Amino acid sequence: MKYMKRKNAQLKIQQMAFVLIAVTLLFALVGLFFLRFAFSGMKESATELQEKNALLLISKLANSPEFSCGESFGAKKTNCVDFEKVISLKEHIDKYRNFWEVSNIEIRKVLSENEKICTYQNYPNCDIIRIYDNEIQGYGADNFVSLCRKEFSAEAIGIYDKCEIAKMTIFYKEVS
Amino acid sequence: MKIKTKAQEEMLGFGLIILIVAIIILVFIVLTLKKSPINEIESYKIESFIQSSLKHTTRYQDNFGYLSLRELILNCYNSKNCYGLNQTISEIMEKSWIIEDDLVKGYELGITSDKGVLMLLKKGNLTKNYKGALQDLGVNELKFELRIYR
Repeated sequence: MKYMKRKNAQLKIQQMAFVLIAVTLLFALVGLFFLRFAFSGMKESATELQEKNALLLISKLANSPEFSCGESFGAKKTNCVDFEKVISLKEHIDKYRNFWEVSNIEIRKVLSENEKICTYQNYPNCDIIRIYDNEIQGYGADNFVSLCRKEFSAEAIGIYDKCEIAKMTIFYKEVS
Repeated sequence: MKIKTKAQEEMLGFGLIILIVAIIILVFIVLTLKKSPINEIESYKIESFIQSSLKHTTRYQDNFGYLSLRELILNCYNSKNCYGLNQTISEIMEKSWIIEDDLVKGYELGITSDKGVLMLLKKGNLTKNYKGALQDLGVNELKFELRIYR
């Protein structure tokens, strides 16, 4: 009788152990499921934050006094780049060599068919302005800006404001 | 009799554990479904694109000079003269958002007002994952909306 009771107790302990193992496994699986989703969300947020920061830096550059249209083309506009200022800046870039901590800045007219690099000589009949060097290195992030200048029309209009949609790209050197 | 009650108690306990675990799993499923990428994420790049394209000087002019895209839209809304609007927007969209690029699967652009849809442009594959932005043009609920599908 005593032996039977002991066996019964052992069986119960065994049963309890199995239930505990099963419940632990279940919770572990649920935990893993949760962690997977939590971390995938974090990765997405990090990428989005990185993208946002790059875009904000471009906006910051486009709205800085060296690039910004100011009030030259009517009311003050955001993300508006003065073409004349930029071409002038390119000519005097040695003074700004390490100012923005980027390897290059490129402004490319979106609607252009050609890829003519802008210089003081061919301005404004060109398509791409590269501020530091004519060659680009590293990886880039871009955003849309308005590239504005004063244009003369031979027709009755005379001088008018011409704004073109352009892509401003900042290039960073790759870290080895 | 006592043995029967114990067995019933154990079954009840096990049932309770299963119920609790099931509730936890359900809560997780609901939370993860809520965070799905179907939600529209506001994009700075699309906002910048809309603002820059609205300022873009088109090749079309009136008596006062060349018109910006914003003025072309307002002209279309006010005088029903929509000449050049569709062509200008299509050209800008095609050059700005290249669908062959892996990052862009398609786009949908709509100009709406209190009178209805002024223009609708759809191209490519409109997936469930998109980023979008909306710009109010400040006249009679005239709105410029763009969605980029990825």
